[in-house]
Amino acid sequence: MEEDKIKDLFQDFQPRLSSDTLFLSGLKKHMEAVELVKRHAAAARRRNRIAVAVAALSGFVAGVIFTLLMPLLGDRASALKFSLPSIGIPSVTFDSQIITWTIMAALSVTIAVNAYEITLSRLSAKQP
Amino acid sequence: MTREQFITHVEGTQKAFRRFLVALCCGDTQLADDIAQEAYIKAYLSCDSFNSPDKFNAWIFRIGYNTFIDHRRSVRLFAGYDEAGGITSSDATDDAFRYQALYAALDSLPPKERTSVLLFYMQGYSIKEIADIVEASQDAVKKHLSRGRNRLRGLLSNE
Repeated sequence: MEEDKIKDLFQDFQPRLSSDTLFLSGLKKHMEAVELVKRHAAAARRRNRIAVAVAALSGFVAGVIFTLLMPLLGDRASALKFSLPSIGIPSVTFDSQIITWTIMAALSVTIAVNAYEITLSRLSAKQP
Repeated sequence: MTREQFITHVEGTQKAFRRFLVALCCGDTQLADDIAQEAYIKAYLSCDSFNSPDKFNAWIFRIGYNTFIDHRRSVRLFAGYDEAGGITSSDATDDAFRYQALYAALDSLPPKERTSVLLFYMQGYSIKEIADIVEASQDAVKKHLSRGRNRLRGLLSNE
């Protein structure tokens, strides 16, 4: 039967392959390269997580400190008044509370971002 | 799966897998070994999420088949076996000469028919298993097998 002939044809097919040992040693080298990249990627993810945690904590602490200093900062901000050149336009006074909160928020974010950058660079510098 | 377990699986499957790839690549052993290496590395990258050690064989054959198809898409392979017949370098091994007719017959089959024929006759997989490997329906695999078989019969009976 033709089907059996096709089966026999493939059963008899035994091509000469390169050495198994050589193939496996090549594969193991590739696997080691993959493992090295995985280790580096895992270390980078760990550094990033630590930096984010430090940034979040710094931002939170800065926010708490600014909030506690709010009464003192509020008094100083209420003295702010802006006036435009005397061309008939009246002077403009901004709400001191909004100014204070905006400045506090901007400072907290700046502190958090700087904490992230500094932590990441310090941890990266420690890497061998 | 640990590294050692993976290597054990590789040692158990690599001969049959590479033999399949040599036939799939119509005798190009270097290409077959490159595809085999790439397939094993792809498998190693996702072995953490692979939890069926008894299905490792079928899994690696699926990755190997997909890697072969990707390679065909990205690189222009031999336009035809006729071109390979002109090679007089060390690539023209005894094997290439011995299996010349088989490689020519396989090269005339489209990749899906070639894969189905090889998995069925060489590796002994069932229609259902072949459908899982090539990610096609069982009816499609039956059609590929039937067409592949008819073409092979025609080509081999002309010898």
